[in-house]
Amino acid sequence: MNQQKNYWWEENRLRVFVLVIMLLFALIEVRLLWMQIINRPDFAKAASANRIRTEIIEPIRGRIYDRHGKLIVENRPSYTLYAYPYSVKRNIETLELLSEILELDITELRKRIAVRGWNTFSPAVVMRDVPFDLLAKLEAIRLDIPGIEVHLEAKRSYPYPESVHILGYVGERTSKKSRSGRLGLIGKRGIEKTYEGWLGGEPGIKYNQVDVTGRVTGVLSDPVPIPVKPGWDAILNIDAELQRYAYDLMGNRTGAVVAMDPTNGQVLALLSVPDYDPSIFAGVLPKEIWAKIQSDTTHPLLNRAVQGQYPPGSTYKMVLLAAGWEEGIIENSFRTTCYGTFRIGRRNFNCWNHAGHGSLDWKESLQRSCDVFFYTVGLELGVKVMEKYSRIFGFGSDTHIDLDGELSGITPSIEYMNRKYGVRKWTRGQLANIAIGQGDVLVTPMQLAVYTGAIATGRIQKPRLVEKLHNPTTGDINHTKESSIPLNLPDATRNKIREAMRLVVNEPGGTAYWLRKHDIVIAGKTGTSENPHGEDHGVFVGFAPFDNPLIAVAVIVEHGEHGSTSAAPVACSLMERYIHDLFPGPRQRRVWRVKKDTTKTDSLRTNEIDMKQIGDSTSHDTTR
Amino acid sequence: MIRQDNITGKRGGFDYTLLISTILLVTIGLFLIYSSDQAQGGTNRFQKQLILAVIGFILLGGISAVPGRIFQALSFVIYGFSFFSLILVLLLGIVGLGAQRWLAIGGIQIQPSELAKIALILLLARILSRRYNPLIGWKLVVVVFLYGTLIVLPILMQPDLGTSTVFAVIAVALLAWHGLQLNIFIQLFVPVAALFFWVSPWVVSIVTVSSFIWLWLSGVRRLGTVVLGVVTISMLFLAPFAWNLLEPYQQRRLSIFLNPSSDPLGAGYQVIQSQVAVGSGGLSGKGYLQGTQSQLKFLPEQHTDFIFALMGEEFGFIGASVVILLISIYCWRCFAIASRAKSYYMALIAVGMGTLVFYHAIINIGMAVGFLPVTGLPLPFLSYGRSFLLTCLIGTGMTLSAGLYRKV
Repeated sequence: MNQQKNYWWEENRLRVFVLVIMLLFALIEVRLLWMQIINRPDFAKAASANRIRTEIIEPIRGRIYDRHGKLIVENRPSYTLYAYPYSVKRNIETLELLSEILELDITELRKRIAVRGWNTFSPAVVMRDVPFDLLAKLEAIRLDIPGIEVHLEAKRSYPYPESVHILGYVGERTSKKSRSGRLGLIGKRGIEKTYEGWLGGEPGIKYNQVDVTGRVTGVLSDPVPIPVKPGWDAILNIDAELQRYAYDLMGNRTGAVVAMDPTNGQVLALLSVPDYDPSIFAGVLPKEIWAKIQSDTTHPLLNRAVQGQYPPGSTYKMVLLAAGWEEGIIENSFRTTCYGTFRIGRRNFNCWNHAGHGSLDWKESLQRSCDVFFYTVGLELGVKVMEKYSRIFGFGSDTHIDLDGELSGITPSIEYMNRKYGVRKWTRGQLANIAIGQGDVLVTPMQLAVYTGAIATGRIQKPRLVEKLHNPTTGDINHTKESSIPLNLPDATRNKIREAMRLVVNEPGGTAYWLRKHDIVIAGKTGTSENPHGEDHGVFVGFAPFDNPLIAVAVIVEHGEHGSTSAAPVACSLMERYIHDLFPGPRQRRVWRVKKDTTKTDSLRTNEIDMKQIGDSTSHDTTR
Repeated sequence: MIRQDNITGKRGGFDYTLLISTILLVTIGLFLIYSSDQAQGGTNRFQKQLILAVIGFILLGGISAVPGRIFQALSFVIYGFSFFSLILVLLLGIVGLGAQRWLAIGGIQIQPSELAKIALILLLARILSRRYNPLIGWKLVVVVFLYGTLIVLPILMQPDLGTSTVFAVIAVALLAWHGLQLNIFIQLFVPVAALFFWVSPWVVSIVTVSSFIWLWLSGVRRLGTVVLGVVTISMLFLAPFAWNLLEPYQQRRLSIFLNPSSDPLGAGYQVIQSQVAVGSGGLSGKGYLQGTQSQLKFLPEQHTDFIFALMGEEFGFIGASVVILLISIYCWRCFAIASRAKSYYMALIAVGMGTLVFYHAIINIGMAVGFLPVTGLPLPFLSYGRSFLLTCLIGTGMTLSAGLYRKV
């Protein structure tokens, strides 16, 4: 039997051996088929992931210019330290070395190197704006510690730091917002935020081919790289020098200044003091500094021009005047007699002039800012009518300026009063307070400027900080839209208010008479905004020149006591400066006339103006 | 004998098919080594391998003309020489890749363990082809085991587990060709299978139990079965100790094979990158010198262990299949020559060569496609490695020689 079996085996062993070979190789072939044909896409993807290193090219952020082309925000070179989490995070030695050089806590360092973006292969920012001495140290050890890189990047710098509340600042993107995996800086406040879409640009993507050591061996054209789109430059309506001048005028006082062109809504200056240094936000902000800013009782981060809400004080009285004329309460023969006090119910309401103004008509009442006159008118009008005219002038709603965080103030209505004090719980005294712009009325300086501009020109302009956006690569220009609505008030009434405002500055007895200019006719109104927490705030609104308003200004000086002494000098100097800048030449008494066909201010700037210089004695329509 | 003719094809003469497949495989190997030279940037392995290939083919031609009885006479001398050179490696060898494998003679590094493969084939062929008083059954197994162990021990001590398994497989294949009883194989196999009980308990249990049933039914004596059972069970408990005897890198390789993704940036890297290279090659490959995995050096050891992955990436499924086809043809011709060789001694050499090449190929390719753990066995004829190339070409020469003298 054994013999037989051997014969069978001798005959068949070749077959058995070949069969084993074929079976095992067939198995390999099936595996190859599965890998190379069926599952090829997966493996190809893995091979691409190996060799393709995506590099994001951060766009250069758009620069910001003022109306005369002066750079307000520029980019300056700065070095940023990046670390690749996958090679640094695990490596204690690297961490220790870095923490020693950067003088940072290891836990803090770990937090900064935490994985952000898509994966561990995208670098994390460890430190922005690395100072030069650190840079030298880093350069010395860079070859010894893998996974750190120093990149030259652009950092924001601010030649005109007094514009900080307009500009805002940029900061690190928070991880929540970087769903796209994008790193880098983003506008956090101000124009940097509202125009982020323009200024920010779009990052480009470069696909590098790397070898196993991570060395870049070439740049791939497939996948197609995405070219970087630099941010658009913004050209503001702000006059940087005027802004700086306003800043100097305010000195170390607290408050806000808004100057705008009432003909087209261009914001010429917008200032809020105290302010802060915008460049501290450009790097990684140290906690102590942030805490210090946060706890500062003067609230430097608050943009008082659009976020500060103040009682307008006497600057509100033009609303009453408009309402009085329109509702038929005031006429030329309407006079009140001021004894310095006004009795409502059982309370005495004082005029600011305790001695009393005597008998005044409507014009003189505004000129001297007699409270008794406006108590009388206000009580006649009632909340509802005052609210109506208040809203006509744009109070109680946003001005829609291109800034973030704008507040709209409060314009008391019957509903508001009922809600706040209870139905029928509020008194005629509160009504009288509203009539002189105190108590429940709250406005922002921006609203005051728009309101003043509306009185000056008859149109409510939408204030615009940014005039146009300019693409530095293509040269395309995108203008922001000028928009305005006509003031819902007959010109006759408006001109009456204008005339009264002229008297405030240009006639003896006016509350700002001491600020009259010999060559420019300024119209304005002082105000004192009662402040239960301390000294009253000084307010002033005004426009100039009277005949052809080119600038409307609102100034609030917190704790300035009287608008006439604190806010008005700032506003008048500002207007004077602006007009003089527009029309350089000998400082003489002049009359400004615009050619009839050129209505836009643009043409004014190019001096297409008929500047008739007239001597003192022949002056018709300016003050004496 | 008619059936035998059908399989072996043309009768007699010089086996050109074997020679041509060898030449093609070596040529493909040279192309791939050139490609890996490009990737490494500045290595000149291509030239070195080319020179060795030329020398090797000259040797092949010469040896194929040498009659078998010369080898037969020299078997023990070659075996002894091999053994002593292995001992020399242990004493003054060059350390590389964590093991002592090379011997430097006059500036040329040689790997005696490669030549020992030929030596073992010659020796086993000599033992199995003994005319007078042939060894049979367990006696044969014991003799083969002793000679095998003698030459494997210094290799295990290097340590080189992968190469050691080659000797075992060659011995088993020669014994199988020789016609050793199936029952003996089963009895040998069962304790070895028990070693892997902890890896896959169910499969091992089923195989072991069914083997015992088979042995019982085919009349193996009761005592033998009991002894086998005791050995099997002791193996089962010895397995963890055997695991501890493995070098750490060997343990790592085995555990990575079982779960490659456990350490993607560490030791599992090679396995993953090799599969990525093969898989991303697709049907026709990325083109010669165009493989991204290889040219950007993501593929490790691409001139030796993972040369098949390089082929798969640059020439795709078609290229990989061509290599497999050529190796299949080579092995088929070896066994075909063996089945018709006049001298039984030469036939066994042909079987040994066919087994050597096939085992290396299946282990190497299986590793490249992720079937098997990383063992470091080169792909015959293709991988860079001059000692091994020379060994294979010399063996091929002997096989061709075996084919020259046929049965009636």
